[in-house]
Amino acid sequence: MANDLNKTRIDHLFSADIDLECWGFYPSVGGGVRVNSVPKSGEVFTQTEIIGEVVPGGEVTQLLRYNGVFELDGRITLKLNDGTLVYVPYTGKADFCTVDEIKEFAAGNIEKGVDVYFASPIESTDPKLDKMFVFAVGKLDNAKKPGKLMLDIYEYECLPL
Amino acid sequence: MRDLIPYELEYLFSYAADCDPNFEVYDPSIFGGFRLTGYIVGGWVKGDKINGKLKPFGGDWCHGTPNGTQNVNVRATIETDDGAKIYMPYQGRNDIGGYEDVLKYKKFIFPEQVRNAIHYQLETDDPRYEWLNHTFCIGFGVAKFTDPVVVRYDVYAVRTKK
Repeated sequence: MANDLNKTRIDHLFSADIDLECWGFYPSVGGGVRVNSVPKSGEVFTQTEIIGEVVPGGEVTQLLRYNGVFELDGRITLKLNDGTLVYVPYTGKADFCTVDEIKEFAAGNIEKGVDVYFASPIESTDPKLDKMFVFAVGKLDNAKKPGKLMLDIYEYECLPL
Repeated sequence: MRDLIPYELEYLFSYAADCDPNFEVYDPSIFGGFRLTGYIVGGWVKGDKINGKLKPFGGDWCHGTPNGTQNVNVRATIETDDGAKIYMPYQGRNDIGGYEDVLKYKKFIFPEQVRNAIHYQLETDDPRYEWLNHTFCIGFGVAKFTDPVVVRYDVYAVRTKK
């Protein structure tokens, strides 16, 4: 690694385990396979305590393109125990399967989990959260019929030169 | 509650963009903030995975909001030393302060530096770099409003530890 890189900070902000209801498996749209889900409930937590809940509604969508690119797009709302609302619109990527396997996925023959990653310019009623840009490391339990999305959300920034 | 999902960052490359010093600042009243446009005229790219230069086009169409947040919105293109072209759009954010600082931007009064957190959506048709299409990348960078302007970023892949 180069030794003249910018100095950085990454801090775990909170995690969210989201229960999903799958609303559609579209095997041939937009140059790929689309899967749409809707958050229905869930917990928001730190490493020591539960700090909030997932607001029902929004969307969690995936588009697995026939060239193998797995695109994520979604909108999630969290409500913290102190009443703070956190809106998380996101885009991201996943590395799911080989190009040859996509046809099998489109045919409904592959059911497996997937590691997901996204970034979000979150919005919040809390002024500090309202300015944050975050990334998330997560796991989706079943790419074909999602039932649970686990997310660890991190705040990150470049420190002053 | 559960344990955090283990992940790691892999350093990919750094880049510095040369910018046209003639920024344009617009006052889009519909957003209540400002729109700042700066154009890329070149730059270098070097690192463990990618080396080359920035093509002399593209730019940043960032949007400052009344709460002092500046949302970065860049489109750039890398040409690697071995001839691949990599499209590099990216979004991110920095904190320039409060509404009074937003008003200063409108008068071309910039802070000494802004520090950006970035998300990249790298895209290429070159088989040697095809892995980038599947890789989630974040970046850390600084823009210094010196003469010339210095824009310098480091780019990392984020991956779950296996």
